[in-house]
Amino acid sequence: MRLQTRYALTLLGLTLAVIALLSVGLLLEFRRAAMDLRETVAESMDESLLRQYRERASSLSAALSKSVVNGVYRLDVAEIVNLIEGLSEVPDLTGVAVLDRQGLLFYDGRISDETVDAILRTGMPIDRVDANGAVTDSLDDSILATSPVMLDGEAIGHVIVCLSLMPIHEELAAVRARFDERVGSSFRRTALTSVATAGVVGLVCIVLALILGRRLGRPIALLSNLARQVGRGQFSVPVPERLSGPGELGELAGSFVAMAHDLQRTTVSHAYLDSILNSMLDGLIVVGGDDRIRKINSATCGLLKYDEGELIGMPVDQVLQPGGGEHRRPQEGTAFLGDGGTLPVLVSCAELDGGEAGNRSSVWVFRDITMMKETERALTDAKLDAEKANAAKTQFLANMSHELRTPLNAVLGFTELILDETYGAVPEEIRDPVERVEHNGQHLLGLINDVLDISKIESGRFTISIDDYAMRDVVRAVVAAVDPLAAEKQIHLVSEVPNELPRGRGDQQRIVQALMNLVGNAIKFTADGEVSVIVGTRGDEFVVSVSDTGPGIPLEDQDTIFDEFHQVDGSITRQKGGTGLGLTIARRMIELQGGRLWVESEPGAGATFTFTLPIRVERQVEAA
Amino acid sequence: MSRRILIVEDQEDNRRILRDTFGRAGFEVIEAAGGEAALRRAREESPHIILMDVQLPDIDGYSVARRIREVPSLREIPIIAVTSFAFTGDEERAREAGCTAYVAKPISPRRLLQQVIDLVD
Repeated sequence: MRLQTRYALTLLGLTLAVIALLSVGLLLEFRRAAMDLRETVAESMDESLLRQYRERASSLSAALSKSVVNGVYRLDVAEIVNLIEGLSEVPDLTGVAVLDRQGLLFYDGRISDETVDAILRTGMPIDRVDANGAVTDSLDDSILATSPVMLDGEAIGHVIVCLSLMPIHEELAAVRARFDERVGSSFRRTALTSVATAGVVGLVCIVLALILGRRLGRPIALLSNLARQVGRGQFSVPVPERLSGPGELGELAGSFVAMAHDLQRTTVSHAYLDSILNSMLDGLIVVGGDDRIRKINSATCGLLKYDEGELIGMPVDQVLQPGGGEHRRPQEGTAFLGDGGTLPVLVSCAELDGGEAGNRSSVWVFRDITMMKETERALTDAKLDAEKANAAKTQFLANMSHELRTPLNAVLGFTELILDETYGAVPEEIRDPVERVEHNGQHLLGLINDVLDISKIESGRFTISIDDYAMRDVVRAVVAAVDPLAAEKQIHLVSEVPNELPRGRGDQQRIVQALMNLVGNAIKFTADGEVSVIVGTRGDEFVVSVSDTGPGIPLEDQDTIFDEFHQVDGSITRQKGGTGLGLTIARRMIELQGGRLWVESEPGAGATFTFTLPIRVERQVEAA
Repeated sequence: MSRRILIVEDQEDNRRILRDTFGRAGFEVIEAAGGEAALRRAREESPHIILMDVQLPDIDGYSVARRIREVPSLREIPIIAVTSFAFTGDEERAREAGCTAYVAKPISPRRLLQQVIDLVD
């Protein structure tokens, strides 16, 4: 039902119900009031008429009692009858009785014997004596009045008159009838007026409702028209003139048009979407809930070597198989081509929102990764080759150092035996060159050991052996080993080790090796002055520093000296001996035990190498 | 009474150095160039001490040491393992095989001699 009609009917029904209720109430009240009034009027009329009749009766009886005095006194019936007959013209007089002192003297038959008897027997009550000295009494249809017949102050008889009350009753009945008639017609008129009023009001209501409904319904019809337009995709609709302006409907229309404009911004047409999809280099497949292909872009045909017609409706797993794993993430898979070949692809799959309920569709995007796979394979191969080459180098270094050490072992062994004069006295001129052989042999052994260490570190085969140790022993061993060298160069070697040092845990041999390297370098590079070894603790770490008064290290070299085969000046290597591996090895020895090694130096003011080392090393720290 | 030392070493030069070192020091030197020979010589001669190179052409030195220890009469003889690589774990392996001590090449004849004298006396 249209809004307009519904409004009109509702309004009309409500109004009519109100009018009907009010009218019925009013009419009922009106009727009750009229009845009350009628009865009140009747009663008051009744009373006044009755009083009137009573007065008439009493004055009549009073008058009659005076006129009959002679007749009664003389018992002259004829005179009395004459008198009474003279009263025949008196209206409503229905009976007259004249009584002497003993009883009835004369009476008109219209007064019953019982009444006369009752009056004679009881007498009239004294309180009913009115102003005329008569006594009145009302019977049903008549009124009685009695007056004594007085002669010289003595009652010689009584007069009774009886007036009919019928005229009063008749008059009252007539009044009532007239009243009823008047009230009835008035009631009908009022009822008619009510109905007429209801009719007029109803009409007004209908008209009002129609106008209201029209005013409300029209904008809503306009709005629904607007909605239909937007639904058809016409997003740029203007606000209809009738709707613009303030008020709820105006605001509604405004927001509706704004919503349509927003929709236009976020909604794209099929053609627009298709051109985007078809410009993609990757293949795109929309798969329905039945796992069959619903839609593809043009790249898909080229990649899969199928015609569009062949692909639509085909089960997707016939052409694309992801490699398994998390479905939402891009994953490698295989595409099966129309020409029987396969293609390595990267597939990503996503469920499409807004698909038909219970029939979830999904969109699959895939990319040809043949090139990527080839590059990857080439890279992997190259990496494997490089690793193999590196491993071969490491193995070669390890083998070489072993093979080099075996003959060197003989060289050093025989040299020592010669110098110990195992084979006889060694003349001074021979001792010196043999000592040079031994010295160079020892140097060569150091080089070989360093290379072996580095190759083990690089191949990850280097392991530390953890045990308890005393840092004091470490320093003592190092100082004892380098003391001859320091003495030879007249360098003052100082060591400071606190008495109360906690017992260390770690690879003592490697700590000695690292410290030996640092102290050896310090002595080697210091021309004159002092080399000091200072041990302390900080937190749960040993802090060991080796300071010298040598030439120092330029700032730009302070990092690179720890690199393999590096010395500040290549010539120094030859001049001072050493492989350039010592610091690299020392740093790795410390790092493998969770410590750090660094240098602080100002050129010309010496250098300080410091390392920290956890007091309790429990396991090897793998290279970062 | 002179001490008998069994030198197990496959390389002639190294054997010569050891022979010269201990010979001059008054030891009676018995030599073996391989594992099987070492086992035989040990049983025959009951040396006072054995220097065992662990890298031998036939059986490795640790196995030889283990088998020597199985012979009741040879159970108490000190065996010094001589290894080429100063690898971590060598010392442990030497002890497991029943060796008394362990030295890494290159060896200093002077120091090795002192070590042997300490063990034998």
